[in-house]
Amino acid sequence: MRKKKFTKPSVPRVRRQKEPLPWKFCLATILCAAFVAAGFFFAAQQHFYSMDYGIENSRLRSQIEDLKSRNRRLKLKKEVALSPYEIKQAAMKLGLRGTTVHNLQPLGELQESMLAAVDEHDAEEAAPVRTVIRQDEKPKTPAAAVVAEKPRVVKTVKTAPSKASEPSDAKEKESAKSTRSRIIDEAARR
Amino acid sequence: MRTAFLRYMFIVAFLILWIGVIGARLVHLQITQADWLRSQAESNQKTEHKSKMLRGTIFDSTGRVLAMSVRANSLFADPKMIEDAEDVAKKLGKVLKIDSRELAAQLRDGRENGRRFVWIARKLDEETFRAVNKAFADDPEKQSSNVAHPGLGWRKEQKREYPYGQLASHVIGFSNADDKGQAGIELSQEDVLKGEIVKKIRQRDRLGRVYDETGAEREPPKDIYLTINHSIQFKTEEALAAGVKAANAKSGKAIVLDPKTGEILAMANYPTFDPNEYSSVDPDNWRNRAVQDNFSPGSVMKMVTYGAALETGRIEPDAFVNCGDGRLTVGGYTFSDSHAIGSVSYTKAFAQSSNVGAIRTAQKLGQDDFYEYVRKFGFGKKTGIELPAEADGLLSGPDRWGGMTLASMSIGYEIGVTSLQTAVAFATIANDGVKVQPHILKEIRQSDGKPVSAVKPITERVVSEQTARELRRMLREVVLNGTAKQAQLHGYSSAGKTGTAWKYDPQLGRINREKYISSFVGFAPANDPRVVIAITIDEPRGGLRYGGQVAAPVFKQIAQQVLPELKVLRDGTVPENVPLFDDPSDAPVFAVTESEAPVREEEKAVEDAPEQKKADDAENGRKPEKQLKKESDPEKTAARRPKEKALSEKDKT
Repeated sequence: MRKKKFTKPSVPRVRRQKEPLPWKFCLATILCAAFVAAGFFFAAQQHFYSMDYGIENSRLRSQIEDLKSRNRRLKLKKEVALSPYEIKQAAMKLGLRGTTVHNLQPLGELQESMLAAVDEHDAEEAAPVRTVIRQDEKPKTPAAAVVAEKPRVVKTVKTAPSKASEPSDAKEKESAKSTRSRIIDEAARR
Repeated sequence: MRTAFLRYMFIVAFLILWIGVIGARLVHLQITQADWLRSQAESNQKTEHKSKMLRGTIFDSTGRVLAMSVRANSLFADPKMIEDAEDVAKKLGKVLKIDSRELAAQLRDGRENGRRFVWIARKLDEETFRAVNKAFADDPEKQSSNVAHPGLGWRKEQKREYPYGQLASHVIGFSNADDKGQAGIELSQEDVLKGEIVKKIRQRDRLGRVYDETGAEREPPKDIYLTINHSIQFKTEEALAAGVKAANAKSGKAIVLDPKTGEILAMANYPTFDPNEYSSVDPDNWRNRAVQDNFSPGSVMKMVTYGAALETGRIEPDAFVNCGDGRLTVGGYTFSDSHAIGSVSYTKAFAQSSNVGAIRTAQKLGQDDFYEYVRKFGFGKKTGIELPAEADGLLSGPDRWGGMTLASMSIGYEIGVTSLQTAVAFATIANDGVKVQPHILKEIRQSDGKPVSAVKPITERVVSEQTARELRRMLREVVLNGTAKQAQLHGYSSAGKTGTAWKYDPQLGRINREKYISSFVGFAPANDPRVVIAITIDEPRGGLRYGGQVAAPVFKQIAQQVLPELKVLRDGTVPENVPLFDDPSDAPVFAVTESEAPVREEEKAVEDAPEQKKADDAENGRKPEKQLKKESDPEKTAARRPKEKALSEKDKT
């Protein structure tokens, strides 16, 4: 018996025809990959930058605090130096005296001496004031008139009330002291 | 084939197991241990930083710093980490100038007891801070902000500094080591001044550098501007100190007040203290006596008596009051004047400080009206000033008054007042009868200088303008011809009232005739007052003890310096001791013609007399012998009569 030879029918191998990758696809992939990678790098860079900035920021902040603190200390030192007690001590060391009622030169004296100086050097300047005095006061006694010529009287006359010579109380007539108080009273009433 | 399959499955199982184990571990880490891990990570990376904001600054009205906080460094130790305690203590002792043996013992003790934190020195200044760092540095030339020794470290704190030292110390007060106000404005304005604690989360990198900081923003504390003027305050303190020393007194207080605005320009107490070293001072000196202490005002109170009577139309300044023989018995007690002045005008009775005149005036007024005006003038209640522990004063209602209470009260006994209350009462008259609530706080500002709030004082009319004017004239007469001649100013008119009262002695249980409180409250210029000055001298022990002798000169010294500083124009009063005319006959009728003996010479003359006579005569030292008999002060006559029944303040107040 003849052996039947069974042979497998040869199936022709079907090979799928590979199409070459489209270059556009490759390019897009590469671009995306590059973009993602760049993004990562960028993010990392930003992160490290922010860390650096943060560190720098913190350093500057503490520096500001230190400077503010130093500024306050300097302000304080300035105030200490300006303290009246410090100034007084420094003045005492220089030989100056403290101000008391007894060694305080009254403003009145100062102005009187200044007026006297004006009188000596520039009598004309004081003259208009004297005119006003005469009009206001009309001094009755010759002595008062003479005194009114002196510029030193200006201060008194200017502030004395115009009705000063009118007596209001019989007792007050007796003493000039009472007269003075009455004048001031008159001024207060006005 | 099978072998290959088995191998394949084995690998797959291994991978599954591997992934499973990893998964399980991840679940374990991220779910069950998540919190612990997170906290561990945060503790490595994040640190919490607490700091206290600097306390607000206190300024005077001109913007000068009266109190300011600065950062300071405090040195601490972790004794457990310090092995060479002796060596460390030796180095620190040298720099900090402390006992090194004591410090070494402290460190050893801390180490033995397992303590991890011990203060070594607190609130050190910058120089000491650097010196400590330098002492432990490897390279002494290199500046370091840390102590180069294990177990030693710095902690930032704040230190309260008072650059002007004792200036206005009783007003400003002080704050303690924990930056909490303990007295004065520091205490009363604690809520405004205190700095909040700020928490910040700091993130650190592996090298420990801070790269991020987050935290809630807090409002910084505010700054306070006072009405105090540092220059006026200084002058007031100087004058008061001189006055207290001259009178050999126990203490003194002075207030300078602007009557129109109610602003306190100066408030001084003597003895005083330096708030930078408050702990080294007797705590009794911390008290602001000007607002916290009550005292019997004495004749100063007569201003209220006459003011109320004028306002209600019961008296006229130029009408006559019969003071008789200078004695008046009311409720079983005989009140007396120093001498019989007979029938005089109310103005003169007031100027001569006649007790009988004042009592008769009060009797005309009646209990209810008198009490009403005492209250209206601000006695018996707080003024409302922004200072802590202000006293109300002691004033009982008419329903609790005894038979002589009205009489006593009209001359300033059986009533307790504060210096501030007397200043406010006189300021009311100086301000044409309108009482302005006194205040010491001018403005509150944010740290950047923006105003937050300004104080608006409450005003109240107490007496009419006419009454105020008349009363000013009467007060002027006190200075010109009454008991306060030493309050006369050079170039300015002044007005005021003296007062001298016996003090209540708790040990005796009654008033002590050896102890006085002398006061003078006045204002200047008399016609348009710009300042009211209240001076109180407690227990003058020298020969001079009356208000006109010990308090009025202080008033003069303050007013004389303050008025030009406030740019107040002279109102032309001729100075007493500066004759304008060489020959008095040359003077016009309105000028001063008589020249009085200088005050100093009179005082010198008084010193030669026996002590009792000295004190008595001093009041009238400038007057001739004849006048002495006529015009001596009623206060001292009472002092001459020890047998008379004493006014017990215990009963009164």
